[in-house]
Amino acid sequence: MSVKHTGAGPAERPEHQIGKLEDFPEHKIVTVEIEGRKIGVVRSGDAVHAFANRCPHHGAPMCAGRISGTMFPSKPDEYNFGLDGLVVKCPWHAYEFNVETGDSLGGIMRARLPIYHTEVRGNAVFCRLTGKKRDALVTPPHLCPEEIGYGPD
Amino acid sequence: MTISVDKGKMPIVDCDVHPLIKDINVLSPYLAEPWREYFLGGVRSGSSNGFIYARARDKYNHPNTTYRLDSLPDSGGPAGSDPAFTISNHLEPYGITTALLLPQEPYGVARFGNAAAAAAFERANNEYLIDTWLSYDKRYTLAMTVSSHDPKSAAADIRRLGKMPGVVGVQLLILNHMAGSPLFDPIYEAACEMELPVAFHQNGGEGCYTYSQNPAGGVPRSYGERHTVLPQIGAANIMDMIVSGVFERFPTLRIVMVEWGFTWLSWLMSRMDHLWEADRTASPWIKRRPSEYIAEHFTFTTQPLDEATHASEIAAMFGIKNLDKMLLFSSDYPHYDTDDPQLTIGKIPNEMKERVCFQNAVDTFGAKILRSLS
Amino acid sequence: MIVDCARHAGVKRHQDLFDYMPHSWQKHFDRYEWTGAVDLTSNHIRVSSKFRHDPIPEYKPGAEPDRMTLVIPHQGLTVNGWADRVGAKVYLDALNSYGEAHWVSSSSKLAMVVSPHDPVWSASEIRRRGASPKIGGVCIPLSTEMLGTRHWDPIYEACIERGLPVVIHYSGVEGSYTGAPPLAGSVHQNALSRLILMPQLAESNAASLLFEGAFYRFPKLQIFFAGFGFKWIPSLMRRVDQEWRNFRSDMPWLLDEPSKKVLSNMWFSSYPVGEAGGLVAWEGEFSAALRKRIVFNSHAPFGNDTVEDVERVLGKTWVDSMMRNGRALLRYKTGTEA
Repeated sequence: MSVKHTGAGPAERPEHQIGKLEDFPEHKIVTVEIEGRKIGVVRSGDAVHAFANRCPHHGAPMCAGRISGTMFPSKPDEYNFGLDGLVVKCPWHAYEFNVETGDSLGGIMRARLPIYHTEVRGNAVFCRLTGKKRDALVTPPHLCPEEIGYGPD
Repeated sequence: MTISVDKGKMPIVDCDVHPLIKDINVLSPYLAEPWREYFLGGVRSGSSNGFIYARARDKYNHPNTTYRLDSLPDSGGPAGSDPAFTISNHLEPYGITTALLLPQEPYGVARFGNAAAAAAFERANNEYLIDTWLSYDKRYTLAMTVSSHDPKSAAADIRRLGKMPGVVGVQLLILNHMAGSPLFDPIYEAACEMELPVAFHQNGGEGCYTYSQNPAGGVPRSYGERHTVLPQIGAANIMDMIVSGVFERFPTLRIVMVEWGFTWLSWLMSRMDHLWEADRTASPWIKRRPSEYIAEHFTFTTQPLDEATHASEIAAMFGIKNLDKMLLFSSDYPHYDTDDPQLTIGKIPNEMKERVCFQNAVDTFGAKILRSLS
Repeated sequence: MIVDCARHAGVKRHQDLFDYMPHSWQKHFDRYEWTGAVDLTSNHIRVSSKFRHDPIPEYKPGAEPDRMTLVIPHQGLTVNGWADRVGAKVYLDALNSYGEAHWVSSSSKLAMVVSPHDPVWSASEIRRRGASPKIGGVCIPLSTEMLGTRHWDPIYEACIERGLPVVIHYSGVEGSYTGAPPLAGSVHQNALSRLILMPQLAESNAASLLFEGAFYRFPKLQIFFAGFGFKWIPSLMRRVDQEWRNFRSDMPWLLDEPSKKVLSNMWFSSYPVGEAGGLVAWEGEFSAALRKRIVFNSHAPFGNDTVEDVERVLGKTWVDSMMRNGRALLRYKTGTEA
């Protein structure tokens, strides 16, 4: 995957064009090298997400992981699948991270998977090795325990 | 025996690395009839690798993969099936001096009722690995596999192969009999004669069949629940060997407990000691404190290492009596629940690091465990 | 005040229960092999290979007014090895009635025993007897059905309604009698082996309760693992959390580290305190929150740990903590500190 450096603002890491939208299939991690660093890139719809190649748990290469969805927190014996295409699973212990936020799913660990700023302009995909702003989450509101029906004892 | 080490070049012995075979047909030269036809003829010849599971995957199925996704060799085949790739993927990056190979394919014989078939398969697997992996690189050493289906046959194999270069131990598959059973005596006798420690590793069939060992209580529901209680079986077999007087019969026998954890030792040792002290007539074969047998005869691998976070908890874990002489570093490459070697070694207290990284392995297996350095 | 959260009492003769059975059931049970088996039934809990045992001293309730005691009718636990599940209910009904009449005082309460084979019957018994201040807990004999499954829901609901903790104690036939839960491994050759491994029954059932989300289904449920000691707990807590992290998506009803439910919903006992020596080496594994879940029990008249034993092994701080904890465990019934 060839990367084109497109210049940078004075205080920012440089932006790189990492390809065209059609270069990034859904549900598949594409490994891209930027500034000597391998990162994982995955497309979801018209958005593209990029994350670090190192699991915060044991340092496993996340680019060798899998893209999937997850089971939301639920009532006992229920499964509610969602976030399809937005979860990267570590190739070792299969820890799940939201590619949009870098957060671990279900709060299994405090450390986040570093994610990078990406942008799609027209058909071109750009990436900058800076942390992404934690914008409004796509995670549905019913992840809250109160919504599931549990409350204080 | 103490091996002195240059600073900065500490040897690392990884006491749990699993080789697989790429394609069962490679065993053909090592199988006599009728076993060649039994294993390779008919439907089985169509399989792309020789992998035979012991775990009933329609009873306990892993939610993801049992292997690391980045451990699949570029040349194809299952994870752990390429000796060159295992070196570039694992040994080289972490500076592993020796990988103790615990063959995975043979675990499948835990399902076999046919003792002769089991023995033939293990024999072929052992000979294949000796010819390929052990001759490929001296960083590989092997715990040759036998099962207890036919202890006399197993003992004969130990005597026949036990002195092959690179063979440093015996992987004994635990089937339905407890490890202290006199059934195993021919195997223990042969292992002691050949000066080979015996390694116990889960075969995968635990809790699956009426003829396998099981965790206490009942049937765990999920893979994760089963994995939580699996160490109980390791603990139970340690206890059984001591209660049955195995080490009184075989005072030089050494046992390596692989992938059972070790932090439950604190409980097991103290409970055994206390109950034996309370009534020494309860088992006539125990001649001294049970924890003494554990310290003298057992070693334990680090993986899976409990993920404790508090300093006092970590100190208590590593402060188990005599653990500094009992602990062996391991990674469980290429399995999913591997512990990163650097992370593990970093967690080991400094005063124990050399012992855990290699010295205890030398004490257990002999200097031949570091054959790549000679 | 000393709080002994698990001591045992039993009938000397099986015939002593006949007055508490319907007449025809008395006649059914009046056969020499069963009445003669009272020694077996009484001694399973020792988990011993010996043929002869010291006679079991009779329990006299109220003889120790300075302690609060929860009494387990240990003979009832052995129904987990019975073949006749219908007869077992009649037996338990009689034993519970006998216990209420003979083993309860102002300083002792009964942990009534229910049938593991019939949760609906058991729930009705808990509601019927559990209203009485004589009852301080509910013993469920261990079965091959792990405690986390929904099989037990009727019992758990009833226990919560009556404010009673569930008490789990081995009967002694586990790993021995068919139908009773197995011990880890396979067949064990002697009683010492089985006695050593008994705590793993608590471990497995604790894991089941945690991974099945039983404490999300029943946030107020309290499970007291009595007679299994406590040194094994920290290792289990770390392992359940580790498996949850690896497999959260497979058990998404676990909303947080499962070990947290150990600290809010489980209790453990001190016997045999002698296995907890060398405090300095292992105490670092026990957080303050975990120490609050450990209570004192004597296991009298078998083994018979005393408070002095506990103080000798663990020190006064642990003793004081255990007494406080014991009052907290037993208060569910009284609504006040014991």
